[in-house]
Amino acid sequence: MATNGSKEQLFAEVSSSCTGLINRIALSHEADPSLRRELVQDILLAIWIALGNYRGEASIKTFAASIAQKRCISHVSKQAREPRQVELPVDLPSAAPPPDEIALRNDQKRLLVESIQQLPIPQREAIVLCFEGFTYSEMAIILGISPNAVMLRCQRAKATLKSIVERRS
Amino acid sequence: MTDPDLQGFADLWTEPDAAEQEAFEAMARKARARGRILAYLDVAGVAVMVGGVLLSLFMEPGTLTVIAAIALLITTVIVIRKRRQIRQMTRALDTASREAFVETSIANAAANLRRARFTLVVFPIGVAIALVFKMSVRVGGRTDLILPAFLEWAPSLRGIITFVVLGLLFAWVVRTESRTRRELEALKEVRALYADEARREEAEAA
Repeated sequence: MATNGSKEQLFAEVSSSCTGLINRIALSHEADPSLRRELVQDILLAIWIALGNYRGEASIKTFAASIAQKRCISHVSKQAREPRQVELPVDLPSAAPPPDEIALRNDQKRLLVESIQQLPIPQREAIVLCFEGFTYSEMAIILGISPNAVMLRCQRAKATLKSIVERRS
Repeated sequence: MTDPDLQGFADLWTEPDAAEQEAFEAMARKARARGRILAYLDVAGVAVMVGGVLLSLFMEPGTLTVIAAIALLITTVIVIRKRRQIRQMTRALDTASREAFVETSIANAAANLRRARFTLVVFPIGVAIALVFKMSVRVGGRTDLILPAFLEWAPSLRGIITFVVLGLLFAWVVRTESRTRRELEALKEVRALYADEARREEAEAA
C-alpha cells in the first residue's frame, strides 16, 4: 500500500508520464471538450484516491489506464447516452509540417477519433489500449480478461474500426 | 501492430500535443487538492452539526430543546452513517475484472438510487424536526408558543428564504433520483455489451 509520501511521488509520476494516455482515453469516450476536461479531472481524482491501494503489481501506466478506462465507463453511464457528435476543434494535435499537410492530418485525425467514439465500449477500450502500445498481457490486466480474449477482442475492434473509417471516408 | 493501415491509425492517435502537459499538470494539482478536501469533509460536517446543537443547548436550555436536539443528533448520525455505508461501495470500484467493475457500478448506482429515495423520505421529517428545534430555541422551550412562533416566522424574509432554499434542495434530490435511475439503465446496457463481447469471444475460441 502506498504511503503518503510515495503517493505524492506516484501521482507526480502519473502527471508527468501519463498525460497523453489519460487525455486520449478520455477523448475516446467524450467528444465535448468541456465535458472531457471534467472527465480528465475526475480520472485524476480517482487515480489520487486509488493510489492509496496501489501495491505495484502492475506498472503505474497500466494502473492509471485501468482507472481511467473504468472512470470513463462510469462517465458514459452518467451521461446516460453515447458521446454526442460534437464537432472537434480544427487545431487537433498535429506535428509542424506544411499547412496543407497539417489540414489533411487534422481531417484524418478527426475521422479516426469520431470512428473510435462509435465503437461499442468493450471494443473501444481494446483498440485504444492497442494504439497506446500496451501488450496483450498488460491489456488483460487492465480489462480483467484473458490475454487470448484480449487478442480476439482487438482483432474484432480493428475490423470494426476499419469498416467504420472506410464507410465514413 | 502488423497491419500498415492500423499502424498509421496508431501513429495518428498517439501524436503528441505539446500544449497539453501544462493544462494537465494544473488539473492534477486541482485533483490532489480536491482529494484531500473530500477526505476531511465528512468529519467537518459532523463537527459543525454537533457543535451547533450543543451551543444552542448551552444557550437555551429547556426540556423540549433537549428532546429536539437529541432527535436532530440521532437523525444526523443515522443519515451520515447510512450515506457513509453507501459511499464505501465506491471504493470497491478498484477491482481487476471488468465484469466485477460493471457489477459493482450497478450495485453502486442502485445504492445511490436507494440513498436518493431514502433522502426524499427523510428530508421532510428532518426539516420538521429542525423547525421544531429552531422554534423551541426561540421561545425558550415553551410548547404552547411553538406554533405561534412558527406562524410568525414563516412569512418573514428569513422564513421565505429558508423555505426557498429547502425547496431547491428537495428539487435537487428529485433530480438526482431521476438521473441515477437513468445511469442505472445505462450501466445495465453496458453490462449487456460486455456479455455480448464475452459470448463472441467464447464462440471464436471454441
